[in-house]
Amino acid sequence: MWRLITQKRSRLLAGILFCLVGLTAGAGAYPLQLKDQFGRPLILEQPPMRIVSGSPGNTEILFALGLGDRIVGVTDWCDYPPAAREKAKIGDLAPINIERVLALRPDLVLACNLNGKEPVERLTALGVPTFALNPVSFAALGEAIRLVGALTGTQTAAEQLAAELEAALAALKPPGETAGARPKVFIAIGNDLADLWTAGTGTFLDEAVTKMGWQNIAGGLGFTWGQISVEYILAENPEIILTELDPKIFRADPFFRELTAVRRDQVFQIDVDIFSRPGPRLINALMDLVKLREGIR
Amino acid sequence: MVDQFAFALDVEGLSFCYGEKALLEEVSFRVPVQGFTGLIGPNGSGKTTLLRCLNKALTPTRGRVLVAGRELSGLKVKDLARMMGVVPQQWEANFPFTVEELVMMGRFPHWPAFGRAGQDDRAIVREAMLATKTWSLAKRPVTELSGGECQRVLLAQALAQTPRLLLLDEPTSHLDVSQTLEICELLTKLIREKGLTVLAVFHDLNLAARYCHDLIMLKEGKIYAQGSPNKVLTPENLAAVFGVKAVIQADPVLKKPYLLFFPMEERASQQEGQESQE
Amino acid sequence: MPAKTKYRLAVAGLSLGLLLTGWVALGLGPVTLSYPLDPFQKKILFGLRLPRIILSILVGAALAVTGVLFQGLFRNPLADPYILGTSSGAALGATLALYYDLNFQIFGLSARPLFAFAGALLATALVFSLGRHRNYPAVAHLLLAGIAVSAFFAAVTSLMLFFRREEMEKIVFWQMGGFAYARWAEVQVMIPYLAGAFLYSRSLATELNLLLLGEEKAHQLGLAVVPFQRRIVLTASLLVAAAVSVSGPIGFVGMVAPHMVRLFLGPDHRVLLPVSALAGGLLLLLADTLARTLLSPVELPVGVLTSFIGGPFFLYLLRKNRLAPE
Repeated sequence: MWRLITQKRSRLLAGILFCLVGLTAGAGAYPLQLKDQFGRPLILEQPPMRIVSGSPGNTEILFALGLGDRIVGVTDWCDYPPAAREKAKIGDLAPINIERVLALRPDLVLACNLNGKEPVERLTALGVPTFALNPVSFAALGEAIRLVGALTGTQTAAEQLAAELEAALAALKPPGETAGARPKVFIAIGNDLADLWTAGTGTFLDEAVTKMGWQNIAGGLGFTWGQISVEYILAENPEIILTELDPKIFRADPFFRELTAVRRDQVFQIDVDIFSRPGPRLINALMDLVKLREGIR
Repeated sequence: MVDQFAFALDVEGLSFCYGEKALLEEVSFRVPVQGFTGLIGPNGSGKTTLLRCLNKALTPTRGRVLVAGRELSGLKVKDLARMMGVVPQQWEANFPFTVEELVMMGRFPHWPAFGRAGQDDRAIVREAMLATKTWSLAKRPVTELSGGECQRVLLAQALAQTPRLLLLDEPTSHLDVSQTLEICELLTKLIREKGLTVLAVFHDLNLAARYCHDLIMLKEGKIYAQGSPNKVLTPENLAAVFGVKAVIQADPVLKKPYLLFFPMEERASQQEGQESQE
Repeated sequence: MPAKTKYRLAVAGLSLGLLLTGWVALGLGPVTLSYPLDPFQKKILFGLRLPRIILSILVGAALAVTGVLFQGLFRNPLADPYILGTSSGAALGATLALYYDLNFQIFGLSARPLFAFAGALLATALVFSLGRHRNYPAVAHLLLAGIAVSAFFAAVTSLMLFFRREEMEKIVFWQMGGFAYARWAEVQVMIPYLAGAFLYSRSLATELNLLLLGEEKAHQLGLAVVPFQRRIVLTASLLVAAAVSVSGPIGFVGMVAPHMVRLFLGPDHRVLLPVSALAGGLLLLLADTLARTLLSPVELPVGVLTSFIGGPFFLYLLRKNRLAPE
């Protein structure tokens, strides 16, 4: 765990460094026009200096690009990096509290798909420059990072960050193409075996494990987050379990301990929270998954 | 011992206060075994409160009540229900029990814990329903009864308790003339034949005068007068308690008092009018 | 039809329905069975499906009996098992277990159900001590105290979740209720406990009938009303606390099962209690079987299914009953 955190720190430092470079490199490009990920155009006359972030993921991207000082407001959920907690709060993600956003007099609201389309439109109608990210996949996240870079004049840092993300994604790819032998993985979320839920198609977790050449047993079942029957898990007999739970719990259970994943000691603890927010910390999380793979038979 | 059982109900110095307000003050009276005592008084004089004190629904602030010689305060609710049946003035049926089921519930105080209805219980229920002319309603849901039917069913239920003492709160308020007389005759018969004792609230003073052996007249929570109908129903008492002018005649058949009422003011002005015409 | 015949028919019909549905439910699931069963299939059948079927019946019966008890206590057919704050108490207990990430076991039960049980009892105890009043109408006080305690416990839960927002989805999942992973350990604890509670509530039937006549009339007929009400609250709370702790708060069954039975068989608790227990058990078994098979292997929240089947059927009954001449 500690190792993870120190890595995050170094990532942050790197981000700050690159932002300095980025600031100088991107200067002079204004006024600029960009289309956001909802396909709506936005014209900025000058670099935004008062930014409101509409999601924890957005906040983490902004900080990673060294724009922490320019953030004037974040959501209640924005708790990373620690400096984000000190920022003024605009409330929940959805519905976004328009009045509180206006009170912060932002020159850019960095919204996201979770804020809902309608409040974003209303902010735009009220004359607030609003730019929406829609990072529903790793590819879209990379694009989102580059867009934020262009928008704020931190292209170099953004390019670096996006490239790191793409490198991590490339590392996910299985080294040798072993056709047909796709290990099954079960993503176990919750804190009790009595009501486990799991991540399905449309989540970063599913995309990551699929890219790794693994097969998510909850993929293609028609939900993003949901519950699947214990019977099905036993029948599918996954070789890998990624979970928030203590692996001990699986070993102690009369049914789960029969699973190949448990017998081979391939139950791995992951931080599901990181995978549920599209932000730069996903890069480290992906690298951790790559390291996990080394221990798998 | 003899003295104890001479009175089905012996009330001494009973007071009931609600907060600061005294609803009953120093009420004392006795109802002899096989007595038929009427409780009369204007609305708010404490009649219903008195009945509720006597059946332990309310705990008196002061005073002592003996039921068939036993301290009321020492009686369990279930023991009391074997000795005393209560027919409320108003009762609304919310659940569609059949009439027979409802009357059978009158047998509850006779059952031990986890007990159930036996052959004897059914016989007693049938008898109570025949006496009150509710047998024909046996299978009807109580939610569909008229006011009068409901009143007779409640009487049947109270009789099914086979009590020694019956408290009734205006038992005939929803009945027509013939039903009213039937119920009063039934009570008289039960008193004579079964040794029952009755304490009943009456609004109809002529009915009270005709059937009751004794009357208790309440005014503002205190007993204003008690004794035989002849003694209690005087023009003076009626004026003081009810605020009416009453003319008292003798019922030619039954030799009981028979009352005609007039408003205090109006009658006075009518008389004046007649006088001035003359 | 005489009441007794109707009662026997209902008991026989519902028992048969339970056996048939249970039999069918045993054969349904993502794992297809083939005879003779191999050890894995046996494990699925007897280790997973059977305890789940039994547990859903037990919880359904417990909820229905609790519904009968509370509807009798409040003389209101709309009272539900959670009227005295049980579910918010259980939710707080479950959230506490979540918050401190507790993972111990007693009698084979894990921390969350135990905490949910304790929370449910705590909430009811609080409601009961706040709702105590010497004069009539004690029951109204109880109801108000229930609302207040529910709101308070829900607020504490929300506050805890506010500081651990990432845990919010988990408690939301728990609150939808379900039997996703029913275990024999739970069945073994529940059977003697519920059997005792069922028998005891059946012994309250005659008195419950009296209570339906109103507190004053019940008193006149020899029922010591307040001590009896206390016994109902205690019995009902112990029942619903157990139910909610193993399955989360499942709505609708407890309110509607007794109501359906009442429409057919009348208000007599001697009939209502056992028949409602059977009906509640069958309703929840049906709902849970649908929950796990409709979109198999996806588990639907069973609370949604209880309303989904119970709702329209209930409306149909109400309509038919209103139109039918007596």
